Amino acid sequence: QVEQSSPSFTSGEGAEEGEEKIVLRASTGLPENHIWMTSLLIPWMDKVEKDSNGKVEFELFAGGELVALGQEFDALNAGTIDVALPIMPLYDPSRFPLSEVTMLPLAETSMETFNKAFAELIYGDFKFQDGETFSESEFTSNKLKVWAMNGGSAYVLSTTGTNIDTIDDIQGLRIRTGSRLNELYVKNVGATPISMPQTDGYDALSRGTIDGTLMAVGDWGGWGYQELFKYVLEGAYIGHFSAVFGMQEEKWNSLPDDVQKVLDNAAQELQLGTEQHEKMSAEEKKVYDEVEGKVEFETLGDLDPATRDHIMAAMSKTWFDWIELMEADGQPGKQTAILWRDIITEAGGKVPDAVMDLE
Amino acid sequence: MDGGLLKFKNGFNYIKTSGLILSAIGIVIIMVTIAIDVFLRNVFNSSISGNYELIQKYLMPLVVFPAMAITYSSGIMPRLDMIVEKFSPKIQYVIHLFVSLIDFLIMVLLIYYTWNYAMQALAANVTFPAGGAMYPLYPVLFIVPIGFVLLAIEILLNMMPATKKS
Amino acid sequence: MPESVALIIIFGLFFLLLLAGQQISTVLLATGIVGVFLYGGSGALTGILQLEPYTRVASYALTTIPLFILMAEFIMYSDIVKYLYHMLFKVSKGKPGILGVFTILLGGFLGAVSGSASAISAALGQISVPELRKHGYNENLAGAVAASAGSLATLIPPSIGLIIYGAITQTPVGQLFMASVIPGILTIGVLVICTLFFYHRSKASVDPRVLTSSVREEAAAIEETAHAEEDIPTSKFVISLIASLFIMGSVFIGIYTGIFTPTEAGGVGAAISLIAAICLGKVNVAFIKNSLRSTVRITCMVMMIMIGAQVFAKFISLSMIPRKLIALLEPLAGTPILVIVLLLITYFILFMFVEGAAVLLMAVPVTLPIAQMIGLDAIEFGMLIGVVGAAGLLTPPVGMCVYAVAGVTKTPIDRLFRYSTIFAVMICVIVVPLLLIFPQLITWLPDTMSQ
Ligand code: NA
Ligand code: NA
Repeated sequence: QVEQSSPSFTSGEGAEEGEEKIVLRASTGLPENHIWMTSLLIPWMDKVEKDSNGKVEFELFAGGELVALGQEFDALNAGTIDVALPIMPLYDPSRFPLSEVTMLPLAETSMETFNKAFAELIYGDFKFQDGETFSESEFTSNKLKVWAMNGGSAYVLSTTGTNIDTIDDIQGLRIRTGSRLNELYVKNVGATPISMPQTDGYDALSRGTIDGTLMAVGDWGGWGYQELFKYVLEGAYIGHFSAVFGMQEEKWNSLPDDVQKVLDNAAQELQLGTEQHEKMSAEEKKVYDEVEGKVEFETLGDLDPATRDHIMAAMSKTWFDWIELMEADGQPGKQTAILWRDIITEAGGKVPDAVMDLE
Repeated sequence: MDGGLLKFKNGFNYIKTSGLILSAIGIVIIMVTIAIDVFLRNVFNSSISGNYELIQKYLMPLVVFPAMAITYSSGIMPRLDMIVEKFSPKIQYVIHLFVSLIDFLIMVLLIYYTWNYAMQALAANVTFPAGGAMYPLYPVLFIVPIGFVLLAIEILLNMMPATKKS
Repeated sequence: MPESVALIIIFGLFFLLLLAGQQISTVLLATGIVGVFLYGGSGALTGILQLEPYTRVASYALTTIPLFILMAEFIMYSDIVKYLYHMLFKVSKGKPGILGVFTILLGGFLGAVSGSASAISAALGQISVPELRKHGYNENLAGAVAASAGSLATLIPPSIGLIIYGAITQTPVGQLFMASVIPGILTIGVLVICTLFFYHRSKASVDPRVLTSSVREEAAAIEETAHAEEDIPTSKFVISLIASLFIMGSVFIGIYTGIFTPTEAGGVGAAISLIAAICLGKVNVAFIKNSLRSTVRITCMVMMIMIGAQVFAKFISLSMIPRKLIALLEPLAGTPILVIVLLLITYFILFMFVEGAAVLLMAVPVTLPIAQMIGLDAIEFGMLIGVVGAAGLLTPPVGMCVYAVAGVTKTPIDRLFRYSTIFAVMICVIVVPLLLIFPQLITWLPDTMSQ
């Protein structure tokens, strides 16, 4: 193998005499300036390098140059990379079926609420009937060691023109959906789900091929959607996009205890860190400032009762549909839904009323 | 050429043509699906559920991999032949053998790795979501090594002197 | 193994295999495999070889490759384009220069309905090159004209490259599209001038006194076709003109009124062309068989090269060559013009080796701050990269547009590269300085539109 002229094989400053450096090949499918990179993942690598006194070093491949977004799990298994920043469980529901739970619709939520709840979901010790925690059931079973990513605000329904005043306004709206739960919700609410690549979204929205999408307002910036959307329905939150980052368990077990501690601490501390939160918020605020006065933000509560109830019913139905789908597949759908309901409400969020009755 | 080999070649030609037909069917299905989806969306405000994922994951690989062998033998693959042309036919043939051997070794590697991957996906029953339902991924993953096997056979046949100019 | 030795081995192998006449797809694969193994070890090789062939192909965006080629095949076997070229030839009173110009404009027009440069190059290779040759272009120039006309698709909106650039840099895609209009027209202008210049030069060099017998025969054949054209009834011209306006018009209107997306335009365009061919009475078993057979072959050829290019790109990435090139630039911030020239040269080199989207995703986040430091904004920088990116599709060693044309027309790639590289260099030395000196060429349209 080629000796890189990067510091991989030299003993760097701070590393103790005779101690071997641990170089981890890290890969991200995101561009290096993506908010997930700048708010959490790069600070995490920096902190690990610092807290380990230079013993651990990362060799980062960004922008999918080595591993494309969504292929991280296979790349970890093959040994192409040591660390995946992040892994996208939502792209791979057959291997990570339960992670979809964060995409369930909420009546009230915020970035802070979600991050608290997601940390609890990933690190919490609630046990399913088979005695496994969520992480054990979802990730340890896939031989992975993972940490929670920080998340942004929830997905909302945005359209390029149509205001939602009556149920009729929703009927026949063509909404781009990117996941199974989004599709269920769009069907339940009576609109038409359209599946197309995100890269076609701008053309499709600007020319009226589709009428809207489900995504977080903070994510508009990446696709130039600020200039296209005219209307956002808030208070019907179509779930939070979530992800984790981590490595193969085998690699994890090969690391010395002190290094493991450094990696763990840095990840858990930063996911809920103030600085991380501020960076994420600033990124979202940028978009909100840009569209101020140009986009109408309406809240579910302000709609006429019939329309509001219709949308709320679609939100609860999405929960029950999902539970049914999961249970039919032999997954603990109901338990996971109840777990998520409890920790998201504990963290300050609200679920549709019917879901509160779920036992 | 002895009879057995000739028979094999004829049989193989039949398989190659079948691969081409499979790929052509794939293209036609993609065209028709997209056209119908556009029609449905504009006229009936509905959509073929999951068509984009299914085209992407199933049909595009179906268009490419089965037809690799016949594409290789059609001489369409671009190459730089200005240097090779200057040598005597004998030396040209030696170079041809050398290059084909490398092609063949690459195919062996690709067959090995893509087959392993398809087997892993089969064992793990990997599925992907499209239009609210889940579809198995492994059947299409097996098309990849099968395509490379056909290509490897084509490369071997192409190395034999008697078949070289045919 | 020291790094320089590894690089010498890998690039030595690349040129050895290339010169030995190995197919481009396997040259890229062979060197990519050796490179990935040397730099990344067996783990990297396993991951890349098991995943890349499938994932490279399994892309909805790439459906434009088979579908635009199918559309071109349907149009070609309907003889529509043949008659159009003949008509243009007649109208111009036998000046074939205009046919090359027409091909470039056709490429620009197709580029405005699709983002797929390889697909359009292959399509033009199929429909335009034979016509250009018939009317006196040598095959190398004709092929290079088709390739460069196809490369415009990445620069002229819609363009996946610009959308990806917008996503990385948080630049509104609409502004990027607006900004790219004038650079696109300038590039078309440069290509038109190059085409005319090389066409007339190649004519001038054919001195009748030194004509070899084969050239004489070819000239006679051309003469003959030119005469034969006189006998084509006007009705055929009219019908093919109407058919082509119908096909192009439906695709164009469909995209710009939102009936379908640019990606879907391939499928709809192919279907419409088939309907047109049926109306012209051209469709029979042979028509279907021939169209599908060549569509499958050309698609497969392009995709096999793409798979090779993908593996090769992984080696480039693992070698960290791009990062090292960029790191070399940072100390030069004091001399902006030197930095921008070096940056663009870096991009030109990256686009030579690696497919477009991969270059953008890995290099833009690292280089944009450098560009901003010396006073370029994200839109200007994006346009400069876009122009260089289009040029990169025409240069060796990895020039997707040229490969596509070479495969279709069976013209040796080295002879195509001889012209196409000059086209690429001309784009870079004329359009890029113009954009640098007059940034208004980029900013004027988006500024006007947003007011
Ligand atoms: Na384009
Ligand atoms: Na190139």
